[in-house]
Amino acid sequence: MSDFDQLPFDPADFAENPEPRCQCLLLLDTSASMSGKPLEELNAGLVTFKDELLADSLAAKRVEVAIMTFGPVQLINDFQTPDIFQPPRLVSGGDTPMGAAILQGIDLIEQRKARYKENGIAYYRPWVFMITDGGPTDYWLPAAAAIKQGEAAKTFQFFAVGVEGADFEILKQLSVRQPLQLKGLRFRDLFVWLSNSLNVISRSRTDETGPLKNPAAPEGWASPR
Amino acid sequence: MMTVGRWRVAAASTAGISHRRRQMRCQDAHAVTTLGRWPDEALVAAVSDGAGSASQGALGAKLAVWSFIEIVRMAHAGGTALGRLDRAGAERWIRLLQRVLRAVAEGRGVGLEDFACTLLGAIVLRDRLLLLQVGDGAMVVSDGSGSGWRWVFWPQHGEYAESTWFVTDEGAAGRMLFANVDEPVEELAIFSDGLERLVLRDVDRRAHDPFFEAVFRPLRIASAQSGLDARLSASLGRLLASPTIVSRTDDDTTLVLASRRAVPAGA
Repeated sequence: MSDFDQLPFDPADFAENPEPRCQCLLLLDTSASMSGKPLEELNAGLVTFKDELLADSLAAKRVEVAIMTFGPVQLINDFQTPDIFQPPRLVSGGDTPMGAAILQGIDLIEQRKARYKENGIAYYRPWVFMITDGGPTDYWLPAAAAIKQGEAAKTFQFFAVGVEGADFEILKQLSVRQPLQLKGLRFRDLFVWLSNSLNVISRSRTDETGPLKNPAAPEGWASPR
Repeated sequence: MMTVGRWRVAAASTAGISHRRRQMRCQDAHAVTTLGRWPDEALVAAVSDGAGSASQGALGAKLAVWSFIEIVRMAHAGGTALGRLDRAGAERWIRLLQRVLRAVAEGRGVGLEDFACTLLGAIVLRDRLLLLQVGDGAMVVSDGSGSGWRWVFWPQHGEYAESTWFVTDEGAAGRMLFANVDEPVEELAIFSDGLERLVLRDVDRRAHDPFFEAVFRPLRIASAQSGLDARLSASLGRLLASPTIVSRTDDDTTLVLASRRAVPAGA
């Protein structure tokens, strides 16, 4: 065999490594005010999210989705790759303990990172994506401090999305990044965008966020607040 | 001392499918040369991966590998004994390389950070090995004794898989990994981040020997001509663009293979 492109490579000639993981934690508001159309659209959006992630061969192996809802604070799906992830049918409940949900969510991410480290699995910087139509009904200052600290230490990236009626003044104090307002109930567009962004992240290098589409562009699903 | 042949080299850089899909060019670059005469022929090789986040990472990578080769060539021509290079000397090279890149950047009205790229540089002398590295990707060597392939530096990643460091960073000289070791090297491979997961094993942190044994076969029987083999390099480029590789990574890939194993009689 005198040429490289004719070498008879065997699959065993290549190293087998676990896929690096990309955590995506969804913190979803299921308080009473979300009942009806908003929650229906959110549930449909989650189904789209799974389909979109599965459609990308790398994201399907690398992205891990977890869902935590508030209120009350409940872990609905622990971190799972898209093939195993089952989009839940969320039902609306009580008040909006957003602060507690954020703190528990951050804890969940740290636990998962520890598991990766134990098992020698490489990982990307996690994304936390919070969607709400209201404002916290609990004491949220510790959560705001934890987000600031986590962003500064590059522990995760936190994004806040407000549906019509959300308390954007508090979201601005919680999130280091500018909160976004969902246009109407365009949850599906939001999750298509989120999936595309995770596809880019799960094959990227340091801060290669250039190719991410601006969700607040005229044709996007959000408007800046 | 082992019997050595002339350095035969094949090298290629290929755009990954994720870059091709987004109509981005290959941001990897490589450069190779030999200095002096056999049997004291030195191999000098460099690989760089331009940052996708930098506006001119591809140009930065090209400038970095060319500058590295030129810096080594000038030192050699000026009578510097390369085998005695120490860390302080290598750090001066990094700062010199940064000055070259900064000058070009200023001429184009951009900053050094717009040329952000990694750097893997190797100098193989008769019985010494010099390596320097800033960022990810890796270099592996074999002494030809059949004891397998070994890496000197594991790829430089931060906590996250997507993070690394660049030779254009302010603290690059200090962060550089540097080795000057008394070690006879018969074969050397340098590869960019895009190939890491295919040829290095995370679980036991070893080079995946079967890959290197397979991929070095063509070079071992290549003609005794010194230096970069254009025909074999084109063939290596086709391998990197083939489904064999592309189905396993969608990133840009660079592979430099250099062998001075004595060519078997009758080959």
